[in-house]
Amino acid sequence: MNIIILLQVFLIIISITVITLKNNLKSVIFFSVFSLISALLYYFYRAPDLALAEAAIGSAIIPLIFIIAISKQKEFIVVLGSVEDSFLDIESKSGIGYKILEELTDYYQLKLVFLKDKNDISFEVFRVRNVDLFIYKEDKHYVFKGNPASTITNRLSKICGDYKDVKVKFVEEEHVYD
Amino acid sequence: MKKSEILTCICRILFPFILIYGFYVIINGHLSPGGGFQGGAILATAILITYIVEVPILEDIVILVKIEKYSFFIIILVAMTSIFTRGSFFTNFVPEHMSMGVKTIFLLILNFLIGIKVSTGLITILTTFMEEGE
Repeated sequence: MNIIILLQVFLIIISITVITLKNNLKSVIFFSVFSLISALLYYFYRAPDLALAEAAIGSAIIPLIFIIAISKQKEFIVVLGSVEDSFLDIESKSGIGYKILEELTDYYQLKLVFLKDKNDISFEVFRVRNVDLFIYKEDKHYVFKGNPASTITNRLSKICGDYKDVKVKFVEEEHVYD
Repeated sequence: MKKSEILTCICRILFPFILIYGFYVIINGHLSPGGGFQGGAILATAILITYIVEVPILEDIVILVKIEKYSFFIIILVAMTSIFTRGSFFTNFVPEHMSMGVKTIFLLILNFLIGIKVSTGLITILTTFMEEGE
């Protein structure tokens, strides 16, 4: 019986650390430790069937889902409309537009992902995955379209104040039909 | 994401053992704790490990989705065959005067089918979540 009491005390300590940790990845790892200890407790309370299911799902599959979700959060997705090569060149990583985006993503430690899309602008902005930015050309100005609520696009409009060719537009998210 | 040498090496060593353990849990489901669901979950983790090692065993998910759909019908058909041998739905299809060893065939078949269904379902859910929109 002493082992059961020890494991229960461990459960309480680990659940408190999961809540108080600031790093997401560490708290996910502690969550899998939590479910391993609860699997041991199921075994000591004579439910080995449940212990197997808890060890397989709670400590392997659910943390995997969390880790994938965290790694998806660190992407900054940009959709390119009709933009000239001199302004933003993906392959050689040069141009004014690329410098602006690189400065932005270095500040927040994000990963740049480019998508090329030829479909309609107004429909595509918030439709495909969670697109953060849409870049296209409109009579001698390059326009960056983004979501007004996020702090990243507010930072972008500050950076773009130095360049005369670049405009930043905000689009409300009301037009999405899911 | 960064990938360390130790993680990939240990995943390569662990992969066949997890597969064997998953099949053991499924096949011994009627004698020991575990069964179709638990064994299927273990099999799913074994195949999901190959994404960390970057040795993709599965090329396309379409085959897995087809297997999952057909296994659902096969489970219902196996359960329905008892109407020809015993005269009632959803019981063991082996006649009553046979020995216990023969009767466990029914449990073995159902455990195996449920294990395949659970593992393919979990793998399709996680792979579509990983490769969303790519």
